[in-house]
Amino acid sequence: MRTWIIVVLCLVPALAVAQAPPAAERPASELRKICADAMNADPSFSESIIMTINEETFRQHKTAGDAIAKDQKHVILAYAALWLLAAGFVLFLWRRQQTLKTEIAQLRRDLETASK
Amino acid sequence: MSVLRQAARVAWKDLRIELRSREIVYTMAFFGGLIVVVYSMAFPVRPDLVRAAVPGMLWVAIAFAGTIGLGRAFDRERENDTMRALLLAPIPRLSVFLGKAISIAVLIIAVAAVCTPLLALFLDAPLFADPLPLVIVLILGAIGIANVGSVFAATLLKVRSRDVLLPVILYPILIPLFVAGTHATEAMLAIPANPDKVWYWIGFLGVYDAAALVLSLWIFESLVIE
Amino acid sequence: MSNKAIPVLATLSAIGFVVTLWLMYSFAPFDRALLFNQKIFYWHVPHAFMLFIATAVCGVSSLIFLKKRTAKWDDLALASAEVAALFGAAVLITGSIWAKAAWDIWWTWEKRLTMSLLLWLTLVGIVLVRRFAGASADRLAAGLAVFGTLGIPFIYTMVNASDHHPQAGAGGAALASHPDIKLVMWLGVLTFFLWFLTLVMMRVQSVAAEREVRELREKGLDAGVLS
Repeated sequence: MRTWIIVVLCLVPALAVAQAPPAAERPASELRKICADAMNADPSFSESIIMTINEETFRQHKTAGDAIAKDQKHVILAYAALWLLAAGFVLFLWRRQQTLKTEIAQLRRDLETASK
Repeated sequence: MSVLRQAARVAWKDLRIELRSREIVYTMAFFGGLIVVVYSMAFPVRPDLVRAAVPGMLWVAIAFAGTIGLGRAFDRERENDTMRALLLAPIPRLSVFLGKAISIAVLIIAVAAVCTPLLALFLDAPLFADPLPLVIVLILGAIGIANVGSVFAATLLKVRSRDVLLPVILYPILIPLFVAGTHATEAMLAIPANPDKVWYWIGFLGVYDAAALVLSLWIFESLVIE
Repeated sequence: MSNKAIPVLATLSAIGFVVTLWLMYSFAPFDRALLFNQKIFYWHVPHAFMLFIATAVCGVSSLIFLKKRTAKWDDLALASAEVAALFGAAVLITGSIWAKAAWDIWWTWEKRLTMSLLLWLTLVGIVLVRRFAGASADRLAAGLAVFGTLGIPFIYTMVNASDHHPQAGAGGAALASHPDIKLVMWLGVLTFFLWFLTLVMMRVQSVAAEREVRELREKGLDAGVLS
């Protein structure tokens, strides 16, 4: 489809130049009209342009919108970070408490045996 | 009332020592001037930049010089352990604290009196277009720094790494003061000058100073118990 | 008492985690301005609340410790400072992730971010001073906590003067305007308040155990059992 568009795009001006007297002498608006007429002469040409643009932009917008709307990655990342922080702190506290407990028990035992 | 009179006596003692040696004032003022010269080399001196950058420069200079002065003023009491004598003296501890804070505030104001004209001169900043608010802002800033600074310098007196710890502790606490001072100076330099904003930040500084003063009067004694 | 309270509080907050997570996915309305990223809000904002509550607890208990000199209040101050530092880290990390999702940048020197960072640094400073300042560390940390807490209302006034941060209160256009969003957020605040209590109690317990070890060691040294 694209190659067709390119071919048509190249052909239309070529035809226009070939048919008409020197272009420089004509006003710009007239040239534009000729060009537009030439393009409109082939209905499949304009249709193909519209289709291409529509599909492409629609796809892009949809992916971008979906990416933001269903952006679970960042939410999960944030919640995971919180879990990790909390779990790390609790683990640290728990292990510390265990070592302290054993140390206290040890010290108590030592003191008792010494006092006997 | 006697608390204030004793405080004035302690402050006068400190200032008289200072007047005889002039050690802190000279070194602080020299340091402040040096900072200004470093600024003028470190930053491009363009009129549009000067208006934006001078407030920050002024307050950073005051903060640095203030920390140096604080450390030095309390080191002097440490050298012959005179702080203990001062705390043992038959005067309320509040007077000791207030006297120290007053003398340090005077020193910081002296440094600001050197730095500010130098900044205005070297960087061509129109700081003295309206001198009254500027003077008030600087005095309020000096009082705040001296007040909070004396509390922590006195607490750190016996700590080995006090020279490092003092700024580390002081700057985060004093952030509201520095930001308010910078905003006020910025509003003075703005074109057109914005007196409403200037007075808003002056009020802010006043409230901050008052709150900090009440708090330090309240907890100073508990902090420096030996 | 705290032996029973800790498991109860931990269980309640665990239930709260699950409930808020479920409500966040199924019940809370989809935010049209901030889209799915907005779901970070339900845990980010409660953590910020807890940061301020923990800091206030730390400041007040430090003040009482300075006035009364009872070790109990010092324990509470240390525990809440550490927990506040933890919640501050949580706020900064989740906020940073949200900023990446919403503004496509990890960190920006926006006022509220700067001030949260500053508060967090002060809290880390308290914990560090506690550990490394030697004999007068407890007083010094207490003074830092008291003055740091004094600064909070000032910093808050300053930040509110001009702010681009999404607001949890009335100022925000998109956020928290819907009653259901608010409901889930307050549930989150309650959950994390229980969680905060759990952590502080656990930490206080371990601080008390540390002191017991120290005392027993001294006793042992006196008795000549230990060397």
